[in-house]
Amino acid sequence: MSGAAGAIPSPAPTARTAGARPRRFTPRRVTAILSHAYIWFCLAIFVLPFFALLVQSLGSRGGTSGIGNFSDALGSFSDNLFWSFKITAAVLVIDLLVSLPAAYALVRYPVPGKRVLFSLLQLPLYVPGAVIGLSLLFTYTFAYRIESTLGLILALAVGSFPLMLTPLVVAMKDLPIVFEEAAACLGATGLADLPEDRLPVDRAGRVGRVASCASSSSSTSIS
Amino acid sequence: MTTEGASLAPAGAVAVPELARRARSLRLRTALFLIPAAILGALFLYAPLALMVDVSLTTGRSFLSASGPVYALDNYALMIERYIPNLLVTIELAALAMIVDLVFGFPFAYILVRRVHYRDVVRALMVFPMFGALYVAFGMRFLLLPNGALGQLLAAVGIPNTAFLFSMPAVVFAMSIFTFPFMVMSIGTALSNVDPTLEEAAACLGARPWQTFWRVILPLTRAGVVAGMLLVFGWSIGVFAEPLLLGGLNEQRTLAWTLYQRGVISTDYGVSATMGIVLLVVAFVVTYFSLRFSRGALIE
Repeated sequence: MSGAAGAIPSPAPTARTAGARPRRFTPRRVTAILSHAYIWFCLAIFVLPFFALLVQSLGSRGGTSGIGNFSDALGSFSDNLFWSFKITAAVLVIDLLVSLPAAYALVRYPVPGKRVLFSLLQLPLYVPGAVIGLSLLFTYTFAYRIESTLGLILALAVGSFPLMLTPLVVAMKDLPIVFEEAAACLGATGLADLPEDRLPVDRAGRVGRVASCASSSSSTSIS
Repeated sequence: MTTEGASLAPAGAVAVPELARRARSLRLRTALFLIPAAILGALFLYAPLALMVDVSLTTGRSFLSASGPVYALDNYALMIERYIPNLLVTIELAALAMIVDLVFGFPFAYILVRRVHYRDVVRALMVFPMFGALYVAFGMRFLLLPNGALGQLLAAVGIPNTAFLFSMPAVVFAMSIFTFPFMVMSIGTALSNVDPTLEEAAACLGARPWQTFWRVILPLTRAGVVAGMLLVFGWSIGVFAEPLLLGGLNEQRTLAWTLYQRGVISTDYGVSATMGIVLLVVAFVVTYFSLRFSRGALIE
């Protein structure tokens, strides 16, 4: 004990000097883990119905099973699948051709009654598909007896058009006007700077294209 | 924030005829840009809807008869007498889906905007439900069937799967999954415009997390929250596939499904058009409030 009395007194033990490991589960870290877990839980729920469909499609039903179901679907129903793709692609092109100039005019030009106009263009988003479908049935099947593929494509385009228009408006609002002015100063014409300047910076507009594609590919009521 | 407006400003520098020419050119360009959308909307939405108003005032199939349509208000009287419960069920389902989406969507949007770096993956997976209510409803049905994953899980904890399969919770759950991305996108857009330093400032000043949420985040994202709620509600009032595949008799009374039955199966066009008009009025009200609450956030 005498030796110990002569020794230099050691400093009070802290977490670091005592060799204790830093806490692994701080409240901040736990919150972060729970946050990510919540995101993945929700995403799993999103995907679950589709996963159930996939499992069901691989099961044995009515004499065929597994890949056989898919080869049957791609064989007998390939026309239907191709038809869906064709219609969706056409709707997407029409939506883009109609929405892009409309969004540009709404954002950049002094349009009178802009809010009313925008709300009228957004109305298909709120009108139920069954109502649009029924009104089209009355008009084009019963009243005027016009039934064509182009008509179906245009009708689907009306239903999904606001999903393209709104993100394009958002994207164009966020796009600084200086890019266009710079392009104009450098001699670009209105049409020339569209693919080179405006479309490349239009990231939010891509969301619209995906949403529009998703909406038109799944629209059953209007069809 | 208009290109031409900016170039028109220095009036002294440009001759008056030149200004008039530019103004004319601007008007022409505006009209040309908006005309395709206007024609598309007029031909395939507004004109058909106007005809539907007309059909809703005719009895039965009389609008197709050679002797001409018979106009009466019978359809509206029938709607009030018989189909108000259908409208209430529709509104109830839409309201419940909206609440579920809001409760689960706000934290999801907040985490996505503030804490997640793999946003593209999340957005890609979030598109899944948007591919159709029909797929979601079918998938849910398979999950809840006695041999489905959720059906077996429920049976294991002593809940008969039939208690959930053809019931309102199943319909609301499927509807919420379908409309969840709309709520998250709407709230997420509003949240991304809120400067995170405001939350840090609130925390530095001693605000607890719930106080920061209640006094800083919620007021600043109110427009996005309301727009999301109305968007979800608007999409949900036309609910069709979920009640049909997952609901019981009560849920299958939704107006869109009844409209289909009366219009396409029973060919009672007058009544079905009236139901369409009622849904349209609800849609108009939702659109009006949506614009009023968003206070021109998009278009000023």
